[in-house]
Amino acid sequence: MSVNELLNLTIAKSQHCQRNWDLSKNIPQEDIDTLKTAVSKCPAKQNRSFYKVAFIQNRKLIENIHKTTDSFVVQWEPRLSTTNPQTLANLLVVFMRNRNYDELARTEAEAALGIIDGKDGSINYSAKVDEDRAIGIAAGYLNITAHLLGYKTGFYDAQHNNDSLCNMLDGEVLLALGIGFEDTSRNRREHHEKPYFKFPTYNKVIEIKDIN
Amino acid sequence: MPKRQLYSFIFNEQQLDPYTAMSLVGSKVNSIKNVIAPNMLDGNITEEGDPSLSSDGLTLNVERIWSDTAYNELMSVTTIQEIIDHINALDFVSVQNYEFIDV
Repeated sequence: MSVNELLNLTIAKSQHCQRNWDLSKNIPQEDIDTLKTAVSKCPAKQNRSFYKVAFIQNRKLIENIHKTTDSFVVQWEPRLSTTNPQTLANLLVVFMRNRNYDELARTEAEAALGIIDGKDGSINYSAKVDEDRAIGIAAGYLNITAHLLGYKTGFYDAQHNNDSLCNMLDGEVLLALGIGFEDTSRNRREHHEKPYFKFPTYNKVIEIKDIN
Repeated sequence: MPKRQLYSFIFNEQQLDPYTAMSLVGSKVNSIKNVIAPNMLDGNITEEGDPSLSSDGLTLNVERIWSDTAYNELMSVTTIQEIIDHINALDFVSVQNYEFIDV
């Protein structure tokens, strides 16, 4: 298989969420370190810090986080839902808001509003856009790096019960990614704790235009 | 006795994926939807393999196992023929096959 074929295959697999895990295995520290490189050496606007990241392997904490994720809705009215078991992975990586207010202004908004308000996404919309993009890029780097290392992954948007998550992690939680070993005996869509329930999966169409 | 549910629907237009196609029909047939969702969560209805779409994206094939409880609940609110008639009355899809077989 050529490098391109391998990359195409890995990238395609990396889009799908893993819903169950083999928790008998441990991720080697060498791989953890590479995953940390992925979230810390990826591009960000003006190479600034927008987030901090928690790498969580403490099972008790992971299970407590998972309990807050009862947001996969299978019926709207009356509401019927289940949890997001991608958060039960061997490793749960959580992105949280983090700004350095000691920096000098580097954008027009920061110069006009001051460094604190200029970095506040509720006041300066472009600051929120920059933050979202920075986390999106970092999470993308993390996701593909994990797959290149042979792991499976699953994103969780971390908006449900967000206050509880923030209290647990002592930070403003913005996004989470479960990373770990797939349970090879199971369909990837089976709920980790409820093997009888399979999550649906959807396809997307991304329009790509060549302009030569 | 548990039942194996087999159904095939034919769509007028190409569908993006099996679950979008299933949701499209399910959203129009409340009598089925309100039985399926809670029973899937409770494990009384389980998928057999993965639902599939034909290569042209027009034919959806689904196979599930229903417990006695789930099947009886469905039969308490509707009949197989009513389900088929309801789906055939939709303007974007028709039923090629819809059956329950004793497992």
